[in-house]
Amino acid sequence: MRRHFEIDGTALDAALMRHADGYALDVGGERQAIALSPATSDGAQTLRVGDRLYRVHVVRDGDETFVQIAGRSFTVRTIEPLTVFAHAGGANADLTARAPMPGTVVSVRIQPGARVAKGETLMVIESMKLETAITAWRDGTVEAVHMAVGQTFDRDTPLVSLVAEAVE
Amino acid sequence: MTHRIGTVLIANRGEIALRILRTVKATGCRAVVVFHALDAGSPAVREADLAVRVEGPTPVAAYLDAARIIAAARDAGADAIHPGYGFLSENAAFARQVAEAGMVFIGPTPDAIDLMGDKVRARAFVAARGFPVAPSAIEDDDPASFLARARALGPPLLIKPAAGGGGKGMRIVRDMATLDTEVERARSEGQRYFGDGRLYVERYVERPRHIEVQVLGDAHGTVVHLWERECSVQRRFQKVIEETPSPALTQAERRDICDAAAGIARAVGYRNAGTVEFIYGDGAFYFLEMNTRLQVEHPVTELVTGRDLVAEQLRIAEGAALGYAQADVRQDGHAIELRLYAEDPVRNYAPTTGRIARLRWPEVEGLRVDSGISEGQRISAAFDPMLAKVIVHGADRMQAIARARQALQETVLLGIATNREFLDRVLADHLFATGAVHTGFLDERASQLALPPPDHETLMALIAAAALSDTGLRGEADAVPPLYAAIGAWRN
Repeated sequence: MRRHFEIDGTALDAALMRHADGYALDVGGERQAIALSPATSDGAQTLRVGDRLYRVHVVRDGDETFVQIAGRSFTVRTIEPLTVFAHAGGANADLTARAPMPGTVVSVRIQPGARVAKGETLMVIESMKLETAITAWRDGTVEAVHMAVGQTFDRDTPLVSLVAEAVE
Repeated sequence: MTHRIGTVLIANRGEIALRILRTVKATGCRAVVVFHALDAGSPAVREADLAVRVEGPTPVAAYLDAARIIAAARDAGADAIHPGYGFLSENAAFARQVAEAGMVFIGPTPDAIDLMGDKVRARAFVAARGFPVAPSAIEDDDPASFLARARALGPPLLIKPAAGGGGKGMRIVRDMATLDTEVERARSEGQRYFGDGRLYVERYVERPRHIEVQVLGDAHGTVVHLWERECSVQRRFQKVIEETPSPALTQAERRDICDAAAGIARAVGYRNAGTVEFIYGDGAFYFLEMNTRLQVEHPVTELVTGRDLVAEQLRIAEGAALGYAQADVRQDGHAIELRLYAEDPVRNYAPTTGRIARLRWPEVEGLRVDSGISEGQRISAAFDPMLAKVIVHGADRMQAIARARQALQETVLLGIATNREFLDRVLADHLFATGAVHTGFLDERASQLALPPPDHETLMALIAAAALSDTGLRGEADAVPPLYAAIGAWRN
C-alpha cells in the first residue's frame, strides 16, 4: 500500500489505507482522512484532505496523475518502492522487497539477523537518476540481503527478505 | 474591379487555421484546409468544409509544399489562398505562383513581400523616405570603410547579419576595442547560419521595447493604421505577451509612431494587412522591419478596434475599398494576449510533449481564446510549441490584467506541461504592473518569476489525489482488513 510519489522533483513516501468507510493517507507519520468525490459534468472533483476541501481536476495516465489544483497543474509520478512477493493463499504476503525498476544498489543499511522497525531504511537504490529508499514495510527480522553495494539489477529482482512472522 | 471570393484554402495549421476558417465561414465562403497526418484530429480539420491531407519529408515541409497546396486549392475549386503567418506567408514566389494559377493570394503584392523581406533593402527604402531608422553602417555601401563608419557611430552597437533573422548571429558591442573581433565572429556566424557573411551595424538601444503598428491598405491606395501593440515581453527573441495600447507611449509618441507606420505602408503602396515593427527606447523609435502578413498577436488589435482583420483581408483581396478613414479607427479599452506554449520555463523554455488529457476554457468577462487544440490531441515536437492564445479585453490595463489572470488560473489543461502558471507569475509581477518592460525583461527577472514549489498542504493534496485515483493502490488498501488497517495512532 506504500508508494513513492514524485512531484516536481520532490519525492515522498506515502501509504494509502482503508479506514472505516473511507481512506486515510499516511505521509511520514502524518495521517489524514482523504476522499475524492465523483466528477461533476465538467469533470471537476472535490478532494478532501483532513478538514480541507479542494476543487480539483484529476486525470490518470499509467503511472502519471495530472492534477489541477488552485490554478496550477502538476504531474504526480507514482513509483512502487517495493513489490511484495505474494504467497498464494499464505498468511504472510510480505516476505521480499523486489526492485520496482532496473537500477543500482547505492547503500545497504542492514545485515541478516537485524531487527528492523517499520519505515526503517534497508537499502538505497538508484534508478533513472533517482535515489529511492527501500524501507521496512513492517517490523521484523532481516532474513537475507540479496544485493550488494554497486550491483545492478533488473526489475523484480529480490532485494531484501524479512523472516516470516505470524500476524499478530 | 471587385470579384467575390467563394472558396478560400487556408494554407496553415493550429490556432491560426481555425481562426481564419471561422471568419471565412462567417462571411459566407467555403473553407478548405490542408493538413499533415499529425494534425488530423485538430479543430480546423473538423470544422473545415473540406480538408485535404498533404505530406512531406517532415511535417513542417508538408505545409511548405507550394505546388501541392496550389494543386489542392485548384482541385477544391478555391479562388483564394490565405497563408496565415509563418510557412508560406512571406514567400513572394508562392504569392506569384498563386496568381499564375488564377487564384488570389490573400496578402500583399509579391513586390512588397520582396522589398520588406530583404532587411537591408527595406531599411534603406524607409530611411530614404525620411522615416526614422537607427543610426547605422551598412557594409555593402562601401566595404572598405565599413569598420571606420561603424566606429564613428559610437557604442553601444549591434552587429547584425545582412541576411539574418530570429536573432541569430547578432552581437552587442559595448567596448569599442572589441569591435574588430566581434565583427569577425558575427561574419563567421552569418556565413554559417545564412550562407552570407555580409553585415551591418546599428546603434544599439539599451533595454529596448518592441512596439509595432497594425496597418491596412486597400487596392485603391487608402492606408490606415489600427494603432500600436507592445510586444516587449519576449523569450529567445520570441514574443510571449502582447498588449495594446502600449504603456510606454505618451499620446504624442503614439500618434507619431502610428503615423510613421502608415506613412511607410503608403510609401510601399501596401495592400492588405501588415505590421510595421519599431524599436523604442529613450523617447525615440526606429524602424526595425515590416511583416507583410497577419500577425500572431492581431487579436489584441481586433478587441480594441472592434474590427475583424481577417474579414478586412478578405474584403481587400476582393478589391473592395476600406470604406473608412483614419479618424474612424478608434481604440476602446485595453487588450492583452498571452501565448500559451507547450514548454517548460524552468528548463530554459524547452518544448514539452504529451497528450491533452483535459482541456476546459473558462468563462471570463472579455475573454477570447484562439486555440488550435482539443482534448485527446497529442502534441509532438514537430511544430511550433504555441498551443493557444488567451486574449482579454478590459476597460483599462488593470482590468485587463485582472481578467487575464483569472482566465489563466481557471483554465484547465492537463497532460502536458505549459507556461500557463509562468504567464500568471509575469502578470502578477509588480514591474509588469507598472508597465516597465523591455525585451530583456524575462531574463532579467528570471529569479523573481520562477514558480515557488508547492507548499506542504498542496503536496499532501496532490498525493491524496494520485493515491485515490490509482485503482491498483486502492485495491491493495481494500484487501487489508479494516481492523488491521485501523491499528495505529490514527484517530478521526
